[in-house]
Amino acid sequence: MFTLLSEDGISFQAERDVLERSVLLKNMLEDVQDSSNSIPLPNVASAVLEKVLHFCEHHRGDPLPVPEEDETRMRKIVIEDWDYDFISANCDIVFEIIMAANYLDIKDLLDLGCKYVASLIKGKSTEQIRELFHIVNDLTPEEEEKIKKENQWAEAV
Amino acid sequence: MAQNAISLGEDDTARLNFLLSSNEPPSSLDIKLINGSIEMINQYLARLQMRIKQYQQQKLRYKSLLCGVRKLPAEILSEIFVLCTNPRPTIDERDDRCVLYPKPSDYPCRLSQVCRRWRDIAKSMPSLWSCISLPHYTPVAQTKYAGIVQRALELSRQSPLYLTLSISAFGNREQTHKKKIVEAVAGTLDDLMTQISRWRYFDFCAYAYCAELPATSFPAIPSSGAPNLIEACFSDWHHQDHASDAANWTTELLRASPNIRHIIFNALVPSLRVPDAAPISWVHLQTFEAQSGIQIDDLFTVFMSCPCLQTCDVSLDTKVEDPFTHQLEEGIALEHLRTLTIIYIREEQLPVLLRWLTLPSLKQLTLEGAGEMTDDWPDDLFTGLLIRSRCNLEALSLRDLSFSETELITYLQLPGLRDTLEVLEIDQWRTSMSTELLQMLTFKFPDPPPSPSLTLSSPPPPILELPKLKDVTFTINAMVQAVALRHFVASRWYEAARNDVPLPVARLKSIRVYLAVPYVPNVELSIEPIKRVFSRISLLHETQVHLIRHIIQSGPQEQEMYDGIQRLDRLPIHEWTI
Repeated sequence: MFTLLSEDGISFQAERDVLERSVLLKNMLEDVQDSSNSIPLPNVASAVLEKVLHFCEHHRGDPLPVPEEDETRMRKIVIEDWDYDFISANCDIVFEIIMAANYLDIKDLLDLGCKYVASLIKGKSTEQIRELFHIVNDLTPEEEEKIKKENQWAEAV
Repeated sequence: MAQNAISLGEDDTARLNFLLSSNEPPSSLDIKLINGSIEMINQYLARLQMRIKQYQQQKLRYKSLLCGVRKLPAEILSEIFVLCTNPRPTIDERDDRCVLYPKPSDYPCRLSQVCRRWRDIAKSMPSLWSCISLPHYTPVAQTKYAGIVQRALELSRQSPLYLTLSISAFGNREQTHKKKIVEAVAGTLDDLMTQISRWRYFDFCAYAYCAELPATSFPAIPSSGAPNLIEACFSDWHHQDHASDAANWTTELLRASPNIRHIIFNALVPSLRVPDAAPISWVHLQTFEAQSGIQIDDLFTVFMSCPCLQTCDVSLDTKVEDPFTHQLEEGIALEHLRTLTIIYIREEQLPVLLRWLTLPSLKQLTLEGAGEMTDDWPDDLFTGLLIRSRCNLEALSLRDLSFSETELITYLQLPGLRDTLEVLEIDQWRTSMSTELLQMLTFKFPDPPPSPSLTLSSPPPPILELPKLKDVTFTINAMVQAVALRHFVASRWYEAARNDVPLPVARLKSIRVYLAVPYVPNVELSIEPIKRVFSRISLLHETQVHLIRHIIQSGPQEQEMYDGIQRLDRLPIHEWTI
């Protein structure tokens, strides 16, 4: 068992194969022989780390995702049932989970977070997207005018 | 609340308080005072509401500082944007081609209007803007699409382009109107032609009006060609003429696409042989599909031009005289061809197809006649193809061809079929199939008991062993072959079912029998009694038996069918139950 220390000083214990879902931790564990020293994760809060470990625990033993041949190819949003339940139950910290997955390099969790956020965006208008994510419309009147002009052709179709 | 905001004089306040604490009716002066006071309160409330809104906006701004989306790095936001937009079309998963894309309501545009950061990120992602779908309904479509084409070409920068163009809804419009629409398409193509070097995927569909597609000049293909075009699909582009303007333009585009890997024609294949032009060389082409007709000359052009061809699925053109004009001195070896499907083969075309090809990697072979076969089946050429190719077929489908039962059994005993065949489909309902063949096609007989007299007089009948066979489909004439079918069911499976004897072919999992019955007005020919027998067998042996009624329209075999119906009356089919 290895011990992880969260940003706010909380310790979590996990087995090697769980932690190795994270490329960052896998690389770190290769250098760590003594499991008695805890591994500090200064960028991950305990509430987030707990969820991340829950995800890794569930997917322990799954084949690691391989990079797609064509990374730029647009993909469809398909989320497994357990994954959807997991991420939607933690939707209030979904961005923190994404950031942690990015930091810890857990590709399947990062993909899951991105797909979930994309699914939230899909079907929503520009204004609804702003409301959903508390985004301020900081476009200048000139930019707004440009967008209007860009869209003028569509009104004629 | 109101004391500070609503400034009434002391007398007015006292008068209103007096009225509020008594039942005295207000005078006209009092009413004026009351209305004035209400108006003042309303104004105050409006000011308050404005303040509340301002505070709410302030709160939202503060809250947005904490929101995670703000912290997402641009590369993750880009990933999310990609997931929000439509998947890029592929030739196997094509979008609805009548839908304009991207419209302002589509996500590349919508995301770019949320805020300045999102706009910058969206506009900096060429792949987000690389799919363009332009349906042409009206003659002015090109003018209206000029903006979207220009913007998409600009924002997609050097990214490969995925283009879908369609023409639809000609309706009953007059010819000049149709011509204008086709000219609009040509105009759009002209706009896109500047970036032809970026074309990766090109899907052109002229819905249902191909026969009337007016002659139009399409833009010339630049000499640099379309070096990055990988997938191309042409649907309903032209059905009547192999050498129309549209057909010639298609040929020109494809000839200029040396790296193409996948071509689909849901339209007549244009003449691929161009006099005085260099031979086609599609060295990367892996899949060629032509569902609406290709001339045999052009099919051989494909064979000769595509050394890497893996899948070829075509229907030959049955509408025109189609002489074979290639002067071949030696055969064509397609080393990588795994799947070959050729349907609507005329009798005179069969020898050409069978004589010249060598297909060592072939796994799936489907041949279907054009329905006018005589008994002149080129047995030696078909055997020659299989032996010469030394292929190991996994699936064989022979439909509407005039081979005999003996010939079929011989083929199934060739090493390249016997040891590897997993799927077999025989569609020969026009000729009778014997009970023996039916039995052979569905399971192996146990060895016959030795009979001294039989041994002396004649060799034992061959035992057909197909150790990997798991799926058999055959079509039989349910009427003409009702006797054979009855014997087959009753003598073998009936007993097997009753005695729970396992089927000798352990791997056989699916038997599909198309029971061809003629179309007879006002008569319903039921196959339910046969189905009941088969379903009982399926339950016992875990072999799925599918019986499908296949209605045959009137044709040359009509009389034979009607004879079959008359004989049906004399058959106890209704008693086929276990």
